[in-house]
Amino acid sequence: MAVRQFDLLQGTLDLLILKSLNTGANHGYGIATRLHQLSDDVLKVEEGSLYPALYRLEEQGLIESEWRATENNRKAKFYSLTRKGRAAAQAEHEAWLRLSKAVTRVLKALEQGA
Amino acid sequence: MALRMPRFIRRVMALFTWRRRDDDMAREMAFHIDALARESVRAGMSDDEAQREARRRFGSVLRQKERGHDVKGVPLVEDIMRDIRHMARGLRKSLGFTTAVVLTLMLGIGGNTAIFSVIDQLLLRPLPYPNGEQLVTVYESFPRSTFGTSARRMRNVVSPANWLDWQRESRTLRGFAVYRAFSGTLTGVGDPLQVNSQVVSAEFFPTLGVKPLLGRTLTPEDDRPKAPLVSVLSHRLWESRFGSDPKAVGRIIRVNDVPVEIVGVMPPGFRFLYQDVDMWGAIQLDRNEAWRQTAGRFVNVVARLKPGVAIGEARTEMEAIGARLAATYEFNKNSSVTIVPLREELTGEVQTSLIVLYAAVGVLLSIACFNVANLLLARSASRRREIAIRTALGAGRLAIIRQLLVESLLLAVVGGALGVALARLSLDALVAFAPADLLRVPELYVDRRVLMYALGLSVMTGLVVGIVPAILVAGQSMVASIRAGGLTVTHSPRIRQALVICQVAMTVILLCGAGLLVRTIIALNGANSGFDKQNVLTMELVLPGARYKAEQRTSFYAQTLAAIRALPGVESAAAANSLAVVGPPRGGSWWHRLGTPELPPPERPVTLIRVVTPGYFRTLRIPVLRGREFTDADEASPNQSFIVNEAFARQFLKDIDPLAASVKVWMQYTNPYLPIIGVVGDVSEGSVRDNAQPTVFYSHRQMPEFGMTLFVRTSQPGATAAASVAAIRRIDSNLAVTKIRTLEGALAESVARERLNALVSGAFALSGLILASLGLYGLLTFVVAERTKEIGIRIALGAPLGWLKGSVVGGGLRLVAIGAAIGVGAAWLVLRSMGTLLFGVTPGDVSTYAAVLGLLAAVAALASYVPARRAAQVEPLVALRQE
Repeated sequence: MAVRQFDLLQGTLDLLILKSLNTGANHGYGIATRLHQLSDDVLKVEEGSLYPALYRLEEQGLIESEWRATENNRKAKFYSLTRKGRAAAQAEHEAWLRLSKAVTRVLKALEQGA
Repeated sequence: MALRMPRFIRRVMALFTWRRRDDDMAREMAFHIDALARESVRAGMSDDEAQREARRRFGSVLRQKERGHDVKGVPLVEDIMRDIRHMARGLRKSLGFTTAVVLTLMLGIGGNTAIFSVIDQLLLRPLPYPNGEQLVTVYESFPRSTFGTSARRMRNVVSPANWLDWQRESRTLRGFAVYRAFSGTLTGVGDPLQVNSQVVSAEFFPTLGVKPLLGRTLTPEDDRPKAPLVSVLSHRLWESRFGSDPKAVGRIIRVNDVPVEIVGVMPPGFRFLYQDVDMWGAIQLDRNEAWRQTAGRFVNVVARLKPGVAIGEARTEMEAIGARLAATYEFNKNSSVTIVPLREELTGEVQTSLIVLYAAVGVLLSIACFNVANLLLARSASRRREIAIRTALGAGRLAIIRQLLVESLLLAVVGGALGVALARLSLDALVAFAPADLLRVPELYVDRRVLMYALGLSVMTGLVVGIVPAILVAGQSMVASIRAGGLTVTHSPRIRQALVICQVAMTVILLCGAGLLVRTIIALNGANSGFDKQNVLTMELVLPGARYKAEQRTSFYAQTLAAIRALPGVESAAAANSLAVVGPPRGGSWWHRLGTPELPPPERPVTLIRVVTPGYFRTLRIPVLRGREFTDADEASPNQSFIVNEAFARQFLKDIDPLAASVKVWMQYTNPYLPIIGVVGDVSEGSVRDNAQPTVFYSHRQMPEFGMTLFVRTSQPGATAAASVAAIRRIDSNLAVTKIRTLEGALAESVARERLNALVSGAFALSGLILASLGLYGLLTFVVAERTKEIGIRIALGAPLGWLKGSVVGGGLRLVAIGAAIGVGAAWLVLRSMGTLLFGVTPGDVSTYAAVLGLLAAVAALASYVPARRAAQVEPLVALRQE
């Protein structure tokens, strides 16, 4: 049970990271903050999951990184989507929508049946 | 987007750029923490608080980095490389620990590798002939009771008639070559040189399947009776005496003053049974002669199993042939056939020794392993806190085990590398120490096979010693460890005690085994062989047959001995056909006493024959029990006579006066009945281990041998040796004088195998003792260090120092006592298999065991006393403050 939960979360986190980078390059801290704010403080991204996910995505060639200055003129590592990443984000997004719709449908049906 | 390399290549490259990536990650995390902190400061925290909060929120930097690594690169390889770097740093810091472990492993692996390479080269490697495993030696054999004089002499050399019949009839064996040892004096190339040769039949080289380097080997024409003599040289002789000259082939040399043509040179390393054979000539046996009527048994036979034939089949067939021949010929009555694989022929003598030594060095290695496991446990106990912190920071249990295993593996491989160097040195020492023909290989070396063995052994050792501490440490609750503050850590005392007990037990086995072998060599050296071996110089001479007829040989030896007796310091001098005790007798033959019924040949009694000159018994101080020994007057008189030994008189002439008996021995062409003029004391026959055999002594005039061994009793052996050789050269400058040595030295050489056994096993046992006492010392030191606080309290409360010391020493001795008890029991069981290697001592010899236990107790007491003294020196105040 625990394993499947972890898998789901991981996949979701990857999707969220990819989609958040869709609007432009960002650093790890920025991604975490953004996801936190956009979810109305519901989603709290553990740094212990974030960075491994970033390295993994980079490894898969979905994102690439570059050291750049922030608006405060400090050096940070910025991640951006590759072309492959953009396509993957789209595909993942659609898959996610299908999945969540399906899950929602099932839950509704079960609720009515019960 | 940049062009991306294939993932695998990137991963491999990542292995080499790990440091840069590591920095990269660290910087990235630093940025993150910093950003978090700024946020907190904006929310109103102080800088310090903000930093702490940020770190807390961020979690473990270490964990992030480790997870980061897990994603990038080839994880296992990279992790192990990091472990190695980490460890190398750690090991450099604790140099004492590292040295102790590496040296211990060096001893264990080195000793093992050395013995393995001897075993490999003697027992495992293919014989130096194509399909060498097919080669067998074939003997006639007799039931113990009817032939031979010693219980061991069951196989016998072969009659040429039987050889020819076997060759004709066998379907399972082919080849059937005969060979015989022969020694000749080579002249015409430098100084006269005594050369060991083998005379062989034409089948010899084809059967072995070895081609010459130059020229040819022996042809059937060379092997015909009365054919011109030809010779094939060893590579060594060709190199040393002929300067590797290709034109040596075709040259005429003189062997025993007879011209011989060199027809070929064998490739380097070619040998058959003996190292020191340098020439092969044709035996030239007449294959049409009725050998059963004209001669006895005097050749050796080597043959080759036909392809696909098992040795058992050949045995069955040859035994059937032997039985048929025994039924057909009176000569063959009771005779059968024995087949011995050539491998066994080559290694029979040393095989048991090697296996015992291999077992001993295996035990030594396990002692070393116990010791290292113990050291690793001690070390991991003191590192418990570091490991707990690593665990807390997210290092998985497997990562910890992996790190500890990598550490023990690295230590084992370094120890193994040093061990190979040690093995190299000890092999040289072994070859230098062992007499030429003991090992029957020209040199011992460390080659790729041995290196692979050493590597495999090191890795196994590393895994074995590392696995227990690794699992134990990783299995500990980290909470308990951290709470304990790294002081009262649990150091798995039971396991460490068990390790020490095992070490002690194995050391006891080793010490007892070595003790028995040392007792054996002492008994052999002290064995009374029936004569006085002190202050006797011996040397060997062979007269060339072409220049010396029978009377000339007798007068040559008489003249030579007279010249030597005249030298300063010489008390007496004499000669015999071979060295007493270890030299072979002149022969064994049937004999008959005048006045008793003459039995058919197979039932006649058998005696050994030795040939001696006047003064032999006086020179060796062999007592003359009845009558007298040969004198110069006997040599001049036409009346001949025999001397017999006590064993002969006791066995055959019990009820009559030996000096009234006349006997004849079937030994020469004419064998008259001669009176016995003396009975002399018994001398061991064959080796100092063995008893005397019934022997009849001929005087040299009766049987004028070519080759004789001189015995010179002198007060100054060194000076006499040189003077004797000069005296011989004055009489005949073309003679080679060989094996100039003291009788004591010659006898010591004859027990070289036993000496080697004692020396090598003794070295192993002492190494084991040292390792075991270090193990004990290490454990007790650790226990004392750990009990410092408790000891401090006891001292403060007024515990007597003597009692304290006693409790530490007692704790150590208790472990030793348990180990010793187990060891003695195991030794009792295991050492029985050494029976055949021992002499003058039984495998369960109580005094040896007692001596071992005494030595062990003394060493153990010392190893315990040092930590005990340290305990007594604990300063109560310091100890109590310590936390």
